[in-house]
Amino acid sequence: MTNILVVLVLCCAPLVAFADDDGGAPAAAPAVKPPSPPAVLDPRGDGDEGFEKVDGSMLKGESIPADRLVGAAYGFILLAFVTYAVSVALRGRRVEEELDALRKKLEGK
Amino acid sequence: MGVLASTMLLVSKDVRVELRAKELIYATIFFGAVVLLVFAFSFLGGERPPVDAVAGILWVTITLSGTVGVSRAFEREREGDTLRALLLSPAPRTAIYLSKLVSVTLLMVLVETTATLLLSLLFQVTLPHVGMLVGLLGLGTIGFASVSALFGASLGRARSRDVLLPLLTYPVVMPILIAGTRGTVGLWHGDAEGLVAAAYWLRFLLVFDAIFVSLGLWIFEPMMRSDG
Amino acid sequence: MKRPLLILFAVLAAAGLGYAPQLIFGAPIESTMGFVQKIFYFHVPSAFMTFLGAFVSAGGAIWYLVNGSPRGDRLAVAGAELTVLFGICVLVTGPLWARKAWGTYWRWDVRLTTSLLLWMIFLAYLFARRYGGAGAKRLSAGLAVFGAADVPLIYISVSVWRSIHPKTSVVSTLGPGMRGPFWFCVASFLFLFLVLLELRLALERSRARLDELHLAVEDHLDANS
Repeated sequence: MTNILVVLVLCCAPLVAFADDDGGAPAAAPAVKPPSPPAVLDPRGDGDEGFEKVDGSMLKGESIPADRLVGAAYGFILLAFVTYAVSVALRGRRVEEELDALRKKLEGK
Repeated sequence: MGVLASTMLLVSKDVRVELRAKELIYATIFFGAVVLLVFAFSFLGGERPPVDAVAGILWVTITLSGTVGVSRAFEREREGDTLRALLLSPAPRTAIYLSKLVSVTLLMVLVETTATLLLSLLFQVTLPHVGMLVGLLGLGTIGFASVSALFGASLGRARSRDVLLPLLTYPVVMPILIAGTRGTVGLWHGDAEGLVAAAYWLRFLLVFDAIFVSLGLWIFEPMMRSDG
Repeated sequence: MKRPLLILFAVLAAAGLGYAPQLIFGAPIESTMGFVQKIFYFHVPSAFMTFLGAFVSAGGAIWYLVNGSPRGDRLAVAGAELTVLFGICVLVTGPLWARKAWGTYWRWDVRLTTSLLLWMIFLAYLFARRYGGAGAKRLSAGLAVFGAADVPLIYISVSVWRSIHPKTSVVSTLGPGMRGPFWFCVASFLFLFLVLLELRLALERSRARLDELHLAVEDHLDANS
């Protein structure tokens, strides 16, 4: 009974709550378009909520070359995958060593 | 005994236990007041802080105090081993979860009432549209309680449970903080668009609560089962 | 996963990731962002795999909670680790791209913020798993379920908070010369995900055998004492 109620609530709650919104029900997909929030929430009226627009002028003289950023991104990803694969392999080896030791212990008894 | 009757019985048990000692109520309310003071000293230097900041301070205070309260409430259960006794009793598991949810909510309502009044005093904020504010706080509290009660009960005798509870709870309840602060800001601006925004966030919190209370009811029992 | 299939996927992943840079650097340069847009070809597939990992973990968690299945638990922990792994790739490459595209490393963009919170939820999963004590598996399974259910709510709340209407899709606005390399990278990342998932599952299966063997040794010692 609880399971049926849970499924009903999970399906119906978003539809009921957002039924009259022009944005529609909040869907699970990231592509849902939410209703526009009022501009008054930002007193300065520029929609940035305290963040200043970056116009690039501050970047003059300290711009990082794009290829360095791209290289850093790809390098990090490669490093992350290799580190993880090595970590799994090392953990696996430790477990196998313990397994061998225990098997020997059992056979020896 | 039905789920609702069991829930009411368990809630009244928690309330009676707490009214005798009043340890949780006093400690959590005092903690909330202290946190507000910390924010006041940090932010109040000259001009009144903007409405956004004050709304954020309110919700952060509630979140931190709620965590302290939940943590202490379940610590007391662990000390007396009463949670295990409850799980062994014939009380339905859903009733146990609901009772914890209601008890945590009641505690947090007390904290929120004090925090809101203190906030309006310290930060010179008027409190218009009290009904909607109560709605935002209430729904936000229920959502927070639905998550924290589940994890608080499940943490059992984990060594790092004091650190783990906020670690597990806060990332999940982030939408509540966003909805609560933005809705409160909308209310405190007070104009038509602000009220529309507040109404939107109220509905959002309703959806959040519906989803997470349902999920909590569903997975509380499997989570509380002991393995093997 | 059968061994020949695992080897096939590993070969496909390695070949794909090895050949991908050639395709990526041969693709046209995007007109507004320039060369730095090339990060997109690894950044977005990493994000796809982050979400895939989260849902694999949540699915395994539900299976474990409902049926008590050890396979469900193994899937949950493997999915969680991959979510954290691919998530950190998203969170590092995104700001590197943003530095050039927006002039700042972080701007509370809705997708990056959602990825950050999802990553934190599954990092908390791993903490709960390690330090959660006796009921750690069930506790972390509950978190995985809550975390996955939270993803759309996080996305909606952040996007409305930031007053940013999400574009319907970054992918559908790609130029014709870019779609091929992009989907090639997605496929390579998917094979890599499956390979890493299987390796991690194999580790959990070994640990389960180790636990059984420990119990067998204890029973043996008790029987002899």
